[in-house]
Amino acid sequence: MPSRPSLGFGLGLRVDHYEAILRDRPNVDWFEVLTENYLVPGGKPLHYLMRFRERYPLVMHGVSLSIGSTAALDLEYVRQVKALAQRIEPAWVSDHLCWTGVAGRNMHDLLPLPYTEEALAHVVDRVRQVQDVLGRRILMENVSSYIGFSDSRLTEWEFLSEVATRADCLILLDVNNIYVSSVNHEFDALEYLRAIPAKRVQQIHLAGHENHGDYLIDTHDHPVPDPVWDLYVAALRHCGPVSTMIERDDNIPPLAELVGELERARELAQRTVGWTTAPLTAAAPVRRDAAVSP
Amino acid sequence: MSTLASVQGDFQEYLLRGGAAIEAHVVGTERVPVTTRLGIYGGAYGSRLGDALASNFPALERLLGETDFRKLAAAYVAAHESPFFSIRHYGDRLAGFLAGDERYSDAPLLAELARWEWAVGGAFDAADAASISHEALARVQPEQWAQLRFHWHPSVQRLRLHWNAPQIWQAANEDTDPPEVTFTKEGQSWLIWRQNLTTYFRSLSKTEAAALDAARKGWPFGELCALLCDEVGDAEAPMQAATLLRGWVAAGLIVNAS
Repeated sequence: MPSRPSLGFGLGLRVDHYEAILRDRPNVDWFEVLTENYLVPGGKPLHYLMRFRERYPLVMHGVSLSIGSTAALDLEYVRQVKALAQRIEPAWVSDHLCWTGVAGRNMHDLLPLPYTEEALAHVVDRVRQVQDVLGRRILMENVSSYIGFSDSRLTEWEFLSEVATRADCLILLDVNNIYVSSVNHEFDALEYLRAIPAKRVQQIHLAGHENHGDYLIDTHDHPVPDPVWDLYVAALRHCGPVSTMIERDDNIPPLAELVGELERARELAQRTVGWTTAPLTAAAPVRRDAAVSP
Repeated sequence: MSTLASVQGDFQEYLLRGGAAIEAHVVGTERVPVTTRLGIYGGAYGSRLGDALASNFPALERLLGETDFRKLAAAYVAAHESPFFSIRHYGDRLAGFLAGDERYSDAPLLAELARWEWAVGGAFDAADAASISHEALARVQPEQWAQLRFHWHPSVQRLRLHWNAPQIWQAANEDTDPPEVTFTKEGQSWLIWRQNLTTYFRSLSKTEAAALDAARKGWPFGELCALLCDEVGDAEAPMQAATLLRGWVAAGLIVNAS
């Protein structure tokens, strides 16, 4: 049995699938919603969000926290995230271990950090601030990267583990991103995986990427490839049954195709760690993560 | 400045203006050199913001064609950095850019189409508000009418255009051939709004535009009637006022009257 609140097998909620999900009630246990898409005053986005909330457990996934930026934390953004979280009561809230801009500018990209003690202390301090404002622990996701910094003194897995431990936050482990970065930076993906504190891994992302021969680009516009499935099996062995989802951001296929990929994840989880999930009822209560103690 | 701040400043400078200082901080490999690695981020920056513009201005992209739209996007991205946490808001100055940049200002339809698409987008996810009903308005006491002011749905947008941008937008939206481009010197007033979840638009007569704009500025009903007397004459004004108001209420444009 999972040692943590586990939602089962989910998908990233995409506009292209809104009607199909409402009509077909596919075999999907939960959905991850992109936070920024719903930080709007009103209209269709929020209308649909509330309809899905009535039917499925949701988790919120943001791209704008910029936790590693040396610019001041955007508290107005964090407050908007909190307001949305109060409205839809997600099982949890996540963002990326990266930075997105400085000097009042947003590059709208998940930019990597140098893995230094300075960056570590900076990120830990900001994760704590965000958790204090939100009143809950957050999940930090590892990003794909294409550059490494000469200033780095830690490996990425040491950095991620230290952030989670020191800030007492949780981890969203993107298995595809580990694989992409392992090829781009020529490290051992299994060594990365083994170093991650398993009990802090709350969610797993599975996705595809683009192969450029000498390097991979994390495009999230392809089906999950075999090496990522293999690494998922290793992640299951290391972490046990962790809420797992397929994340497709572009080149969105029909819903049934993603549900098919999700079935493969279920089978692997069943075979690897004997994990099966019971279908959730429409009004299944979602256990919220414990609030952060002051 | 800390090492982290300096690395981030240099990296951002590379993305925005191609600054080379970041190269000293980046490690390459024999297989993938530093310039290739940085180039992945550099290329992604322009294409991501270009994609955001294409998503916000689909009719403009269709009118220009993909190649010319990407040229426009590159020019705009070079001129306008994003201060927004959400990429949804990127492109807020595109209409002004098209009107002011010499590469585009001799085709003023482009700026008007950009204004139109941005306004439609604004109505799409503007705040929700319950509209007032005919019945609620009917309960207003006769002596209160002269001082009655109307409060408008947050999605309401008003534009005055000289080109047939709305028709071109509609053709793109319906995936049909665009109409011929037309121009009117006097211009045409347009209204965009959302009722429940559907975004609507329609053209406005000169009289309705004047009355609606005055009402949105907070003129009480009595003054709107006086304005209509000037526009259509004393005999027609009461009927005109009642007709306009009934139409505004039916369309869900008014959320409150007080």
